[in-house]
Amino acid sequence: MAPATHTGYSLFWIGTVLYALSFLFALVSITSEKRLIRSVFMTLLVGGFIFQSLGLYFRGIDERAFPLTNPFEILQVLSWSAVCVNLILRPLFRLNLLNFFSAGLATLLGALSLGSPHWDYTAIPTHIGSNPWVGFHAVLAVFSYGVFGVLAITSLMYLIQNYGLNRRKAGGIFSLLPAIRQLEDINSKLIVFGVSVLTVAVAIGCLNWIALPGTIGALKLIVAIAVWAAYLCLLILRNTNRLIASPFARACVILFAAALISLWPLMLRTAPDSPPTGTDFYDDASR
Amino acid sequence: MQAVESPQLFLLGSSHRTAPLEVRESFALNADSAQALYTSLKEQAGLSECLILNTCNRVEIYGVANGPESRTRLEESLSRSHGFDTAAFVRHGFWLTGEEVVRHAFEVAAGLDSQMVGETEILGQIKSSYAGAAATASTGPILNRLFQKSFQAAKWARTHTGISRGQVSIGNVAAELAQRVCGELQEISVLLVGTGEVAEKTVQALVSRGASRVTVAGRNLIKARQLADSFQGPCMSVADVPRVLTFHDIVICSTASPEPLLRKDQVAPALRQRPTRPLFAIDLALPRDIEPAVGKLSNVYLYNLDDLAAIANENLKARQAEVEKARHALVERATHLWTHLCGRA
Repeated sequence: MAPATHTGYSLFWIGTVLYALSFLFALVSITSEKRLIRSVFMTLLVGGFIFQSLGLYFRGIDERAFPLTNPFEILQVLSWSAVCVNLILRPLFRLNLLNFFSAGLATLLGALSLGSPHWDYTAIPTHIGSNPWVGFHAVLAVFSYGVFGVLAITSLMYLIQNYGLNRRKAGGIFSLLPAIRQLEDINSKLIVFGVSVLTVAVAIGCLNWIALPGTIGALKLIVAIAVWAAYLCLLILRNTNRLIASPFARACVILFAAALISLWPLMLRTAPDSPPTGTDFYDDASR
Repeated sequence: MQAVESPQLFLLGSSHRTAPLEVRESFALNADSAQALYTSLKEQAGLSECLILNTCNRVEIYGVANGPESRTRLEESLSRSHGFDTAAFVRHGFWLTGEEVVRHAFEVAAGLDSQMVGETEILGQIKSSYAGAAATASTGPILNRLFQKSFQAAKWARTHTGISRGQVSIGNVAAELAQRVCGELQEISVLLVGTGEVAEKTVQALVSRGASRVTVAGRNLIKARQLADSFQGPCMSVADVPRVLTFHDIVICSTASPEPLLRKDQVAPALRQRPTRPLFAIDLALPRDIEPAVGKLSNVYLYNLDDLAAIANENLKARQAEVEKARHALVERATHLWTHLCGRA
């Protein structure tokens, strides 16, 4: 698993730099209490998204697989899906500052992946064409993480707004954040959406595992099920009103951090590095 | 700008800065007396343009005269106007000419000269005065340009400086907080407990931002009914408040009750009926109507009079810090306009 210069590395760099610039641009506008020039901010954010999409596209073409073969790619896809979900949700729910926080998350994930070049090792790609369900499982799983990433962002926004209201803080970022009620509402929708997508992903993964037992490591399986179960519990607690408001928001942020950490065991290969044959493909795809 | 002596731009006025409230009361002009004053000023020889700005905090007469003794003639004209105490007006007033008038007009339009720095109501009042004067052809090229430029300057100052940032009245601070808790106010229900003036103004601020469902509860049902009618909502007895609390998103208390009307053990069950919807509670009463322990409940945001006043004062300080910045920029704009007016003259 030696580090190597892969396709689209410069595109990922440009994408991350544009995300960082959009985040910094908005941060400076907010802290100096100046009006945010939305056209500039959106150009930077969408520009970052386009470059990142191109990077993933060319890498996918190069590998003839969905680019989820190493930690670098997983973080990039996760960042991409979070920004994608955000770009869809922002106009639907009109949540102020959602783009700003998403740009921050994308910058963080991008910097994390680019800051560790050894994570971009050459691994055996997933030949989706051999089994589209495996690829579908992987895509859905990472997309659900993107949804949970946005949920963590809206929860963080909730906690900041809640802090401001409880500490009698006015102006600045507090007056720009969405209302508590609005955030509570979007959080309830995002948890349902995220858990639904992850449930489908886990179900497909389980079917693959049942069909080909032994191809997925025990640790990987346990962690994957644990993340899904944790979010499912969160959803049940939320819907039965046993975990709401600030405790729910805190749980969403903590769980997403835990889910990010859990990517590490999920990325562990259980198959050897030798050229893939038969069931090896399935294991790679489930990362 | 000594080069321009004819026509002369001047301003005779009195405002909250130069006259106390009881004196300003005597200057207040109603529609009829303002019209009479306009007629009187227009008939005065040499006064080619004039505009009267008449608000609760100021009476200002902007004019353009062709002769050198404009002030004397203006004071004579004011003396002739029915019921106007010219001596007191001059004693508690100020006289400005030339570029100073332009600067003053810019500052007034931007809200820098207002009692509540940065307030926006004054701009509407100036626009209204200008429209009235223009409709009767009382203004001419100089005042037209002065006021149109002052509107632009006011807009610039509000956009590029922080003079209007943050709310500085209790009602508006509460309304801004309500939006941070509830978001759009169109769909939320407001419960007003008590019929105090501050509480009424707070509800008015909420209504001005879209709140439309207002219920009034009072110990005096006749008063409560009257107030409820003004908001086109129902009224009820104070005793019913704990029972209906669950149906409201904002509760504003302002009664003279010596004991708290809303205790934690009353509010908690109401919240259990609506666990995911936050409650914004505003206690404007002294002694307090809402037990402080209510603020400890999850999803409850309790603010009392001190909390709101602290935010209002903080916002006011922030505005005042921006005033010098705005003033400096407006002086530059005023100088530029004055140079232009002199060139035209």
